[in-house]
Amino acid sequence: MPRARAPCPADAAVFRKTSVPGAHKTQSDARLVKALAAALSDPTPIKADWRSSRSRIIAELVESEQRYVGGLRHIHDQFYQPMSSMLPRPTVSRIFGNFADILQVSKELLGRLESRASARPDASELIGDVLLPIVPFFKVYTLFVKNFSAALQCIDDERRRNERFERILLDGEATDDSKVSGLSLQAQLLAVVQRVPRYQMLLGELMKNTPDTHPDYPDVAAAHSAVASTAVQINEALREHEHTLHVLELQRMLNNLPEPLVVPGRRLILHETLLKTCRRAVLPRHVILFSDCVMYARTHEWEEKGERPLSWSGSFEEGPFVFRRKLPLHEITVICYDDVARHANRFDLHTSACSFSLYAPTQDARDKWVRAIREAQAEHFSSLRSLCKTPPVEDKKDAAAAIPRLDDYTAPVWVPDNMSRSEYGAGAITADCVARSFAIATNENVARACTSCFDATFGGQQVASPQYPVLASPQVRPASLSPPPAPSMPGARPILVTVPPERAGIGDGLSYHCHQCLNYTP
Amino acid sequence: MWDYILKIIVIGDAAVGKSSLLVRLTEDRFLVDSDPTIGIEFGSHLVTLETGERIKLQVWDTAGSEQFRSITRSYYKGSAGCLLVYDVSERSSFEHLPSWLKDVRDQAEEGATVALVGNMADLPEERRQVTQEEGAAFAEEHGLLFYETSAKTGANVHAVFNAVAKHVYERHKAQGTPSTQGPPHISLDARPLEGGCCL
Repeated sequence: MPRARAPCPADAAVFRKTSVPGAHKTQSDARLVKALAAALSDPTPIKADWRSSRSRIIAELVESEQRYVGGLRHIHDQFYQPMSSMLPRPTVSRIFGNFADILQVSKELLGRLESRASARPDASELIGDVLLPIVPFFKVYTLFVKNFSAALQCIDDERRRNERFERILLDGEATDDSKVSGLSLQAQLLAVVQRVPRYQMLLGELMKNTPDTHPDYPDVAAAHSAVASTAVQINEALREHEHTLHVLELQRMLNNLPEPLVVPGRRLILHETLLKTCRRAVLPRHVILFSDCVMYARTHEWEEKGERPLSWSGSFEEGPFVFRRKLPLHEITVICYDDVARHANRFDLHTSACSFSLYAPTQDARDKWVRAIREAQAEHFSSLRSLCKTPPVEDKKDAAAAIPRLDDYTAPVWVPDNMSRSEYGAGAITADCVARSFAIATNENVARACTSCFDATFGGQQVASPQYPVLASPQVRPASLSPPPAPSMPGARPILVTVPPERAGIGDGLSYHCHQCLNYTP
Repeated sequence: MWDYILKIIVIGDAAVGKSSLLVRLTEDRFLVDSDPTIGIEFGSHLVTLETGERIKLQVWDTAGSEQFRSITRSYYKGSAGCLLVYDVSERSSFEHLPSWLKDVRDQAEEGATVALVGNMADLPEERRQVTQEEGAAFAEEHGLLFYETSAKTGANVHAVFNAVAKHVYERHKAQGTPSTQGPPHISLDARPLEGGCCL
């Protein structure tokens, strides 16, 4: 009885979990493969009494298969058959998946084992050559295992609306067969899910008790390693499957998506509601880290309530989200602040198009995010290098040729209006802050920066004549504002404010914020 | 016969004694080398509460698939109780607890009862790598029941299963007993004398 996991758009509870199944695939893959390699080349010395152990394990192999096939037959007779004649075909296949294939493979294996192994097997008996041809067929379990959680859901749904179905379930449980008595269909199907790891366990034991001089050794070793890799494959398939389901759930929660979230090669790594600096205020945004990009989405409710939380206030109601923006991972610079007390678990994401600050609920959460983004970037860069070349940046000859050009531009973090007023003081923002224009090499925009930021960036570069008229009366800059310290934070580049081209020449002398100044003001 | 049936899973690193605990519970003996490799995949055990009500524990052993975490997760569905086992003489098994606990919290029933079990407590002091205080502190921090057990001597083995049963029972009582017409997928499943299970 799984919790409702099937299509259920309102399943908001799912999204309180920020962990994602299958997120750290690469690392765990490597670990698993390493562990398996270690297990396969296990140097454990053969025990003196290996003969008795070996014959005991061969006997167990046969007995266990007999028991298992008995269980499968029971499922077939007590559940599969009666349900097949009652339920529509699609429902039957949702519950049983490729159960019939599994029964077939197991019967075949049992037949071969029984024809080989005697009732009291001897240690010299060969068994590896019986197992080896069957082992590749264990791949049929992959489909069954992937289907399992949907099967449980389907059984639950069906029993709630179908009395005859429930009757079959109860009858099947109340069987006289002592081995499976009292076990529900779900429990019996679970035994199928677990079967391949069990084979691996048995063959592992058999390996341990077969000296490498034994004629059976090569076949047993080959069968063991094949079973082990099949188990890994099943596990991976299941992990991928869980992961895809999770992303699809997320996709259902996101409105206004310009593109599907499920893309080949993309993994969901982390998603959580954080506080983000927006134009007017700091607001909750659902931030999603994929293996190739960061997306953020508006959380409906808060926007409608019009609340403007400035600090982290614990958990948020999470409803459907509205997609806002996607930032490609290779464009992002992550900036983490050491002074946690002052910056309230803040970290910044900078790109040329858009930069902002995010606030995590705790320092641990902040560190988790920064680490996850950096790791994802490292991985993304290495895969990017092997995939394609970065497209060359076009040399633009634009009208702004007369003004200096900044090649390495990063959008400034916008200090939200309410923060700039409340924390920086209204007087701090003056028209004379925005005095000089420059062109951005990577896009069409012309941007402007205050004199001190401009000088910090372009040095003594003389601009023939300011192309745009600026300012009304110069005002006295409050002492706290000048001069902005040169970029002193590690990894920080000069941050300059962008204004759209059509506004660049207006010189309205009103309230362009130089966010560079604001960002660096204590 | 029983009044309730309750699914419990036993999880933790390989070789911490999960199967041994189960064999001690159901057969009251110690698992030895010559026992079958697979042994029992699940065991059942009847607990009688002070109220006279009987709870049938259906205990699932995950031994053998520890390294296949996605496969192991299939066990969790619908389990109302969980024994999270480590070996007091093996530090790493204690250090892996958070990741197991995370799986339980993500996959098992909402608010499932988890008992932390430090097994092999019969071993001499000098072989211990995890003190009782550390175990207790971890349990306290994460809101788990805590027992140190020995599958070899049988110490505390019944106690921990009984405690889990009782805890789940009381939790469900506090939330209101599942009504008979209620969803049969509540783990503490009241379907007297008719058998039934709650995977």
